[in-house]
Amino acid sequence: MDRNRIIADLTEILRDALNDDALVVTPELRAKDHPEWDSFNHINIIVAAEAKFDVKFNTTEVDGLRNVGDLIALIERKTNKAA
Amino acid sequence: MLFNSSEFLFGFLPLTLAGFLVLSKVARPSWAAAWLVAASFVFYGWWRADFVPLLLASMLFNFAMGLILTRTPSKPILIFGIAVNLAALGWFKYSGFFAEIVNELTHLGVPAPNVTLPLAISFYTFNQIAYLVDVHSGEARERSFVNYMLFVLFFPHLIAGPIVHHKEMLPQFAKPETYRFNLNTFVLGCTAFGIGLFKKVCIADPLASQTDIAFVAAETGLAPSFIDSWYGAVAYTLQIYFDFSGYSDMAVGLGLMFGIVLPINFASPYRATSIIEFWSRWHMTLTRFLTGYIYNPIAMALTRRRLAAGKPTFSRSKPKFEPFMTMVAFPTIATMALAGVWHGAGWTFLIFGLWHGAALAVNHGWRAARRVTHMDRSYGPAGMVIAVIVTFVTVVIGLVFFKSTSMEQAFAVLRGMAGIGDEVELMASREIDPTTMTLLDYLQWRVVSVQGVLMATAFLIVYCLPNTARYLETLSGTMGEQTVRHIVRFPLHLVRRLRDAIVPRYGEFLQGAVVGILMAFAVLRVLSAAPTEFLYFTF
Repeated sequence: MDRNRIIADLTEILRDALNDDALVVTPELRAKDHPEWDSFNHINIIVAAEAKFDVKFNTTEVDGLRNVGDLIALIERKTNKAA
Repeated sequence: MLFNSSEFLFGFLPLTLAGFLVLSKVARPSWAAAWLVAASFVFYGWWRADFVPLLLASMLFNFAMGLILTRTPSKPILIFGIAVNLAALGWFKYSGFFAEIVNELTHLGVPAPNVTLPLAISFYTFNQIAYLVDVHSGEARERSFVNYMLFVLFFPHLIAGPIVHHKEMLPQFAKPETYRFNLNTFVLGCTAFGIGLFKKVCIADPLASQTDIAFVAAETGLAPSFIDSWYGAVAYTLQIYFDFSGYSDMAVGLGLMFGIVLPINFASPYRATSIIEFWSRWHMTLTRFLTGYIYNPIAMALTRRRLAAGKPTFSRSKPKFEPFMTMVAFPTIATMALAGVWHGAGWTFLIFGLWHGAALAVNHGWRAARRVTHMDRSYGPAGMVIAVIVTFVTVVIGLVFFKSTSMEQAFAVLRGMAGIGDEVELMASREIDPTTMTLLDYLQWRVVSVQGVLMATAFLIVYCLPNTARYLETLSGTMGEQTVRHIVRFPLHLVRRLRDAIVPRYGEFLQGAVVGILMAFAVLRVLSAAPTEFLYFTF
């Protein structure tokens, strides 16, 4: 899947989950950069991404994510494998 | 074998180290690794050799499953692997408890199978299930059976953790640098080991008798007095911390002596200002395991289901009661209930888990409420003290269940703590008469004593001294200086000037001297008293 398309979709998910319409999503963005991004919202975000991109993450993959860039890479890997 | 026994300190450890260092030097790393595996078998089998076959079978089975899953990562195979592990654990650890429950419910009189709990089975089962799960998802693979055995068996962590992750262990065993002696790492290891040994034999062991004041009296179901109950329960809270964190420090230290970094297990848990924070500082490797392999999968599955059904999910900025209960409270309490029962088969452990689960859920609710009402400013110094005390008391109450061998005993201690003790019935067994004694007399008798001083010292260490991880960190960094600053924290100007004059010049020396003195005391006690078991060896 196209990288820009993934970022656009993730922006929508993150803005919704983090309740922040002005949020700019970059690959460098980390959970601790945003006050709303706690462990509960993290799970909401991951599951919303699963639904959006029609993939399934397991917990070890989710634990290994350092920033949005890692999430994008993971989605790319999963969607390309499926395609 | 116990870390705090003379045969370990003066026989097993020096021999194993010497063999390891010689083999690392003259032979291939795999020989040194094989030596450690052999030594770990001796360490494990020293007490009861008859549990060795089970351990070996468990490793063979899981290694083979790992190979199969590497080639064909299929879910049914993974489930089969986990089921076999859990069945073994269930039979050896829980069959008696289940028989008891069945009998209570049905009066069938199912005979409880007479099985002894194999040493460390809870720990090595967890490690290996995690391994299988991660092999299945492609996160792990291991082709060398020797390295795999070393991951499970490595004697510093085998009996009671830290619960290691193959991701942090297997690469270390494969790395050639591990087998090259490094004096700095070795010194750090000795330091951690020395501190841990001191915590165990000079603080935790002497505290053990103090818990009797509450718990032995309560065995009969009679509640001890208010002060006795609190005194005994707090003594146990201190004992288990010094015992288990002492053991963990020793494990980390032993690992470092062999060039292996084990994860830190404790970070001053009693300084936590909330129960959520407490679990991020207490038995940290268990918390990590529970979060990764139990809480997250449950929470993710629930979230998926809700999303598919179009129901709202929980968010802290717009918290609603129903999503909170199903998506936060339920997975938290379920995870902690399992954690409780992991410690031991019995109602007291289950209640211990449920208590902590409920406390964590309340804590999460409290945070959400503070946020919504815009009260989530920092507490301020007085608020922090109250937060620490509330957290500590929550932990003390949980540990009453943890320590008690029956619910009657736990409730007797708790009744005492609530101030409804059976004073009169217990009076006969005591040398003093609490009804004629003033509170001051009582405190004097109880607290101004060797044990009272010991408790005070333990509290001082808990609240004022840097923890072992911090100590090692500064030791490996700017050798000396920082740590002594932490220790000498008096606000007095004079002390500060003195410190600035001494620390840069003699910091390193002081650090060595402190650990040396601690170790000397500890070794003297090891030689003079029979070694006592670590509290966590029964899990």
